[in-house]
Amino acid sequence: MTDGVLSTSDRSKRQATPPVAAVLVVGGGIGGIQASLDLADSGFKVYLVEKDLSIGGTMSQLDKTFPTNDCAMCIMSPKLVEAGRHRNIEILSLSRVEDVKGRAGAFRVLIRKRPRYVDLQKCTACGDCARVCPVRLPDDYEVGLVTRRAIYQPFAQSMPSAFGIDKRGTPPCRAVCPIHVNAQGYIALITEAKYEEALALIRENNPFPGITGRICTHPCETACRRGDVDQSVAINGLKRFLADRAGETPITTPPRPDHRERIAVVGSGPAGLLAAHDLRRMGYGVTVFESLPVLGGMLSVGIPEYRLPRHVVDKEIGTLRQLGVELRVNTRVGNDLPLKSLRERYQAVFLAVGAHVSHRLAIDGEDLDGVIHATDYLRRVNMGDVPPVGPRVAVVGGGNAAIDAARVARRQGGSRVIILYRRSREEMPALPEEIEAAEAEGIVIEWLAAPTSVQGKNGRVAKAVCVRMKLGEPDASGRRRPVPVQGSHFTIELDTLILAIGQTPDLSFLHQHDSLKITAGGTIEADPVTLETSARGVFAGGDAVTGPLTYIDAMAAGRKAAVSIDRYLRGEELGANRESEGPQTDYVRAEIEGVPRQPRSQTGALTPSERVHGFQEVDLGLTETQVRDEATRCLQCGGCSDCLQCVQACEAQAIIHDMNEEVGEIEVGAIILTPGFDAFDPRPKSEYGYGRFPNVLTSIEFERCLSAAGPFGGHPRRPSDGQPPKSIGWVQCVGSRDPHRGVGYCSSVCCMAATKQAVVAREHAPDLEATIFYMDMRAHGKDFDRYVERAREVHGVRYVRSRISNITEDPQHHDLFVIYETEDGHLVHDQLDMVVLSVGLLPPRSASDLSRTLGVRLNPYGFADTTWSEPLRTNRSGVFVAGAFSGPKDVPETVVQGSAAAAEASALLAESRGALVSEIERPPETDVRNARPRIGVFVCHCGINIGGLVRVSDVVAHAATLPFVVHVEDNLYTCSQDNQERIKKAILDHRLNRVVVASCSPRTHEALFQDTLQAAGLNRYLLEMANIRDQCSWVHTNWPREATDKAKDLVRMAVSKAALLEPLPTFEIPVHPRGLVVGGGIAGLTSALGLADQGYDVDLVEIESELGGNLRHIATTLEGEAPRAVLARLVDAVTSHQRIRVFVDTRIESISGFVGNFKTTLTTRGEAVEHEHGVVIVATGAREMKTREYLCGQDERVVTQREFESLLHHRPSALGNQNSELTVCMIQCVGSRTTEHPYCSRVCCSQAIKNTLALGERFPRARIFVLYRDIRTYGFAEDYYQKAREQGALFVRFDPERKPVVEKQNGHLQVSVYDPLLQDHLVLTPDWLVLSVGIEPLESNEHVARMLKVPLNADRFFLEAHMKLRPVEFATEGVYVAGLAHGPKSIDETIVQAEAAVSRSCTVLSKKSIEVPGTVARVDERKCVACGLCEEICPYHAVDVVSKKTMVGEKPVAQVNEALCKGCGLCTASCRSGAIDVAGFSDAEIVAQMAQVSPR
Amino acid sequence: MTYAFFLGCTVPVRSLNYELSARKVARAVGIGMVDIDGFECCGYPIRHLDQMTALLLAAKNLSLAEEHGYDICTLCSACAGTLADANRKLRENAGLRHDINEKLSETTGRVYRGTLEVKHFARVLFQDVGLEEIRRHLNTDLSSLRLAAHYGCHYLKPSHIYDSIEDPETPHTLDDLIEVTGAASIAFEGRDRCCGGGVLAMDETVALAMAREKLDRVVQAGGEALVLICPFCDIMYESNQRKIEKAFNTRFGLPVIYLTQLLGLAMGMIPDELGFRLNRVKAKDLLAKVTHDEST
Repeated sequence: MTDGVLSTSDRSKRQATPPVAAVLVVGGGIGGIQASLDLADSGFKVYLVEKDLSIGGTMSQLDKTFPTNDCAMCIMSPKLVEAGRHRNIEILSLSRVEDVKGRAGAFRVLIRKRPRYVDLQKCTACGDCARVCPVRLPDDYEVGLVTRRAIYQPFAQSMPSAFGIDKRGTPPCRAVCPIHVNAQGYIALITEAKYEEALALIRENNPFPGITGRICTHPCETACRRGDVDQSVAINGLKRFLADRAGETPITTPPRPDHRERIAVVGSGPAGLLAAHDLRRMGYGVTVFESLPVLGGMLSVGIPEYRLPRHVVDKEIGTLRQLGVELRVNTRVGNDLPLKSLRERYQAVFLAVGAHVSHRLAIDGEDLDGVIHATDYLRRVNMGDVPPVGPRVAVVGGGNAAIDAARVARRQGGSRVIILYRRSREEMPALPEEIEAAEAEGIVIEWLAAPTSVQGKNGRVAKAVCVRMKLGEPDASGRRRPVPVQGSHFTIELDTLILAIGQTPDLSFLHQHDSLKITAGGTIEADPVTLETSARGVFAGGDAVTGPLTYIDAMAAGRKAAVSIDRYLRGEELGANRESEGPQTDYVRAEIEGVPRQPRSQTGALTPSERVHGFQEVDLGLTETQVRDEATRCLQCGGCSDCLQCVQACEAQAIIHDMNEEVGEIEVGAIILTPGFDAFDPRPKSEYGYGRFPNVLTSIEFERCLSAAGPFGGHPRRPSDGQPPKSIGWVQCVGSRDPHRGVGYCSSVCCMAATKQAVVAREHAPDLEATIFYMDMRAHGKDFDRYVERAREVHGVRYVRSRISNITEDPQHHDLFVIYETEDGHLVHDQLDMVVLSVGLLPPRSASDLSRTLGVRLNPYGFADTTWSEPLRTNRSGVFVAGAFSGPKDVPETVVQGSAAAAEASALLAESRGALVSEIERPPETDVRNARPRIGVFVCHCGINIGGLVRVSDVVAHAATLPFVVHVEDNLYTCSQDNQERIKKAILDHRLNRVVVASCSPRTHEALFQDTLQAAGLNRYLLEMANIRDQCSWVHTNWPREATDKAKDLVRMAVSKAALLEPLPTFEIPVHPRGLVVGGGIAGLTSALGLADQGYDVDLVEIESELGGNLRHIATTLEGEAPRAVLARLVDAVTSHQRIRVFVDTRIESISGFVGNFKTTLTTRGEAVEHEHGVVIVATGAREMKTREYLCGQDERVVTQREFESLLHHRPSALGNQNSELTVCMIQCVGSRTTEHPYCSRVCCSQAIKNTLALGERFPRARIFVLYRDIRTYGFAEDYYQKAREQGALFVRFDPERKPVVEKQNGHLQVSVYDPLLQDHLVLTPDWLVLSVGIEPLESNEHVARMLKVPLNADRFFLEAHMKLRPVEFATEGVYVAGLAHGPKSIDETIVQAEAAVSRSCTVLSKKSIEVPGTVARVDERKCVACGLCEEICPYHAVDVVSKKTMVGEKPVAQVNEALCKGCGLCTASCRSGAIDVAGFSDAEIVAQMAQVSPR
Repeated sequence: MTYAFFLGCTVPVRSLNYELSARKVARAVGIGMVDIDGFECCGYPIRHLDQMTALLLAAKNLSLAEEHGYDICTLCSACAGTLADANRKLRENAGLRHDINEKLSETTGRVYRGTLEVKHFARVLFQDVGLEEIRRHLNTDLSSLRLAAHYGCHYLKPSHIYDSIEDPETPHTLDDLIEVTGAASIAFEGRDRCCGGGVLAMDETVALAMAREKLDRVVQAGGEALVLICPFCDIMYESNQRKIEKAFNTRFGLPVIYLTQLLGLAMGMIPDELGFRLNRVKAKDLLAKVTHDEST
């Protein structure tokens, strides 16, 4: 056999071991889902990798689908459920492919799975978690139109049906906080007014919110992302509000059980206190020793009361007492209580004695009266021992202590207070807000000035001699060193001089024998990471080690000490893994584009004149309203804020906040890539104002506006004012057909999508003016032109042919304006309420990653690179593509490709089919037919979804009173895994023979409970469900009593029906493993070879004597390749394949039977033979349309495109020589888009352009005119249209009302056409007139359709079961369609469709037998009068009226073919004599249910 | 910062108030303006008839500035556009530069090496001086004013000749320069439209109708004056305002002022220094609003 198209069949030669019977599908959109289902249904294991939480892709976001206006979600959700529940499909959500090794048949794939933070096994998607989540993030499923919570599922039908948490990383505020207080978390809780919870969250890390909220240097605010928008969030103010509001709330978290060890903490400043707090919470006994009479260290004796009131300090230190920390004041460690004895009595000691001794300035006069050190000064003031200051005060220093001292002095009567600082304002270490406050209080700051000596009078300070400084080179601290300016001395007269130039610790309490090392700087030497000192068991931290730093640094030291001491006492490694302590630089920042400015709330403050008269707190804090406003300014950088509210809300205990990323390897035989596409971001095309003008939306956004499940309930509103729009304009080709933006191709779907949106929008608001601005209306799909015509005629959608160049806005009312020129030259200004930009389809963002990881080639636009003859194959063997990844396409083409890719993959792995899938074990069924009903009722709380409203206990009690009910129980989640076991056990324990589950929708959960029954040995149809959630608690949220009553009714109805339920048998129908392919063109050949490669016998029937069909007449493709060689190889492969029997010159006489069991009579040259087939693929093709229009057939210079192509390639000399100045005119849409043939033939535009390019190449001097209505070169064919224009071909549009006129004038052809742009007639005299005559269906279609009982559409092409999701099959099972028989299409589309038909066939042929569900129609032959209505009405052709022996003698009666019946019930509803019932929904059962409805 | 000050033809003839105020403002913010002998027409008027001649004219101007060692700063947007476009072409296309230089040296004995930048004065203010620096020089509060910015076309388009420093669809420099003074730069529909000057020579009615549309909208949006940076736009909105009023039987009386006049006011310069007497539509009310402090 040959290479190329046959590479699947010669695989066995190369491969010794059988291939892995599993396939990896990358991307969970509709294409991926279809591929997965096909594979899983034909005996393969599927791993479906999805990057997001849920499969569903773009289709799940769509509102309606064209051309049928079906709800996208309604038609898709059964597929979601099927994929989600399929035993052979494993959905790997939040995953991506990291690496691929190996080769076709045996790939090893590395998958990286992001954590969901929710246990899939436990989550029941009840949504209780999302209700308590305080975080609001832009909802990506709703394209950012609304917000969602951090714990969420994208949409109600999500699959896997479970929530997940959006964690983006640590937010800056929390990362940079030295003690990692969860600021984002408590801010989020504030937005929900959950103040207690917020405070509790702070206290997890910080017992002093009131203190911290006042004096912390707030690195969190410095790092806050909001600062990049306007100003940082007032985090301190929020914290302080919570603390102040809390009153005397006791600490609620009780410490864990005590350890034996006790710890001494020396010093009650922030470092000591936080260490004590942490250690106590760890369960240690802690005693704090404080030498002063007050607790708090610098908090109490350093910081003035107007900044930090004493009662705040006392209250918060008091919480430590509540925790059980022992606090001793007036106890100086040293002489009376030596460190040595502490070390004996306590198992560890933490020295946190602070730095309370002021540095000396070392200048003359420093010891005069009236010179005082800031720490001493502040301590004495704070302790009530008020030292006198004179009216003229100078403070030396630039830190917070200097400012504090100055401001205190000002309050103590200092009328002229000056601060002398030797550097400039920029270098000043004090907080800017403190400096400003000081200045506001009248304190003068002399920058770049320092005292050189102090002079006294009578022993008291009288003046200071100062010198001006300038800044020199940077010093060790990185700040520029101040250098005195020569001769700049000046004098300040003063009464008091306060020195605030730094402090050192007072270490006089240490003895020699304590053997503690001291640094040169006079601080305790301690390890920077572990805080260990040179003495074992003694740790030291805070200012005593580092010299004076900030409050929060001291707190961090306290925390560090607690960790070290705990490890020390446990005997663990002290220094290991401590990187996460202290400030971190690794954090995430929220996206800020488009965040509206909202200034920070300003706290109230005392006026400067009020301040200086006392020590009242200056900062008045934020009001509650301000706090709520301020909290909403938070950008929620981290996504989930780790507030853990969800953990408390989740009854199923499914939330795991510390879940980790997983990396795992899987083995697969083939890979299918279906990553979909991304929408073009119209922001860079700023002329359309997207992002600037609120009423300009993208088509995806508008789709969500239209969706009934979307943010506006399906009624579009103007974003600017919330009003329903009265006029909407659609601007087409935004990010399509735009080579300047790198998107030269046509996105193929937008014309129809916009038309659909316009139609649906007008259905919502009939008065709406809908206008679509377009270049060419590309309605090239099946029935698309009809849809557009209906939109125009019936729905009044206005179509304006114009490329809109820009959009302007009335900035007041946000109305929009477009200007365009009509074809007759008038300039029109349109005012629109809203504009929808039809954004193009881009390759998915993941494309380049996939390309790299898999070694798969991309085309210049970044889509997967494929060829016309192998449209699904990549350059890497065993890796296939489907859907928009290989070029823009709509849903049906994506579904077809999904199936087709599945066929390619399964052909590769055919010999291993079934190796990795298991059959379900079924225990024997208990016979319950004559037993008295014993009903078990299971009532579900669904967390609080039902239980929060309906009184479940009442429902349970009520159920217990009902007839036949022998067991009732309620479950938190009846669907959870453990409850399936409970139900099984209850069935066995109570000998139940009927089960009622009162919970949610059978749509999602019936199969689950049916399986449970089956596992317990009950027939699966002995289950009845009562939907007391979706149809009760969810819709009556404000009516708890009534909802409870209704729930009882629903349960009672279900019970009464359950009592009548019968076990229903399921049938097995054998399948004949041979396929019939009708038609020997490219579609039929591909199908036949495909089936044979899958390992099934095939009969290929061709009515002509030669295989090849229409493709025989095609010389080149649009890409310029010759298909002949490919066709020849294909024919060769088919004719030589041992599984294929080819019947040429053969017609099908008759086909009867049904799926798995068709009986076909073939007549070859008069001889009829019957064959049996399991499936039938209709690939009968179509033909070039016959016409006599435009002198066709009457003048030899008038030819069809196909004839012209033949001339061009096989007899070019007939056209002229290379230099001939040929004039060729082409007319498009000859016979297409007419009253007789209202459809578009889809391929003629490309065909014309193909011939134009070939002509131009061969005859460079040829003049080419193409007369057209719309050029429909969708997808990458647009490039060739562009090329043809560049080559000089002239494209002239005509209106169908003014078609070209062709005449013979003096022996010359003369074409006259009205050019709407020139507004004049153009008269051409071409040498050749080429007609694009289009494609028409075969007459024989009607015959075939009748035999197979499948429908044709109005144009007499075969009509598929569903235009979107079942594009190659029929309602009649086992029959499939491919190629032109289905409708006009290109070669590659035909090949793909043929492969899709193979894939669908395999889902039948791969089974030995087909299982028929029990819920089928049954005829009561006694009542049947054989009227035949049921036969006529049955969409599946499952009912026939036959003559039959019955209980009442031989008579004609309706007979149901159970293999075909879908249990839809149309026959039951239509039967006039009540002779047909659908099993499981019999009249008796329904009536019994109805009878139980309470009268109201 | 010192620039070769390229006045062009229109400013010194029709818009002396622009030149006057620009020189004052430049001095105030520390921009040196050097007048160079020999500057000629920028080339704009014949650009669409004979590109090469237009380039040749531009190249001569560029070569003069290059010889003196200064980048060019223009007041007129058309000059900025023409010179910047020529400069870009000559810098990027060595072949073209060679051809032009051949002719240029033949006729004038000069060559242009391609080392210059060409900037409009407003861009110099925005980019080189910066809003912060400008703010330091302001001393008069103009926050009571509601002004309409008119960018015109050549200041923005084609944006690639200005290295795409500003999106022509969402320009902001002029708004920022207005708002730095405290005045409000108002939003109004059709802000980005042409003044009409481009078709004045062909069809006066169309040109006047275009200008009228904008005047209408500015007035409707509550604008108290139109702020310009191009003398051509001034012809349409100011010189022709009476004509428009007559033609459409309406009344605007809308002052049209140059950005430099506005900045001068905000810097505390008196209206006379800024050439307000030369404004054809008198800005009396406007000036009264912002200078009343001095009169009391």
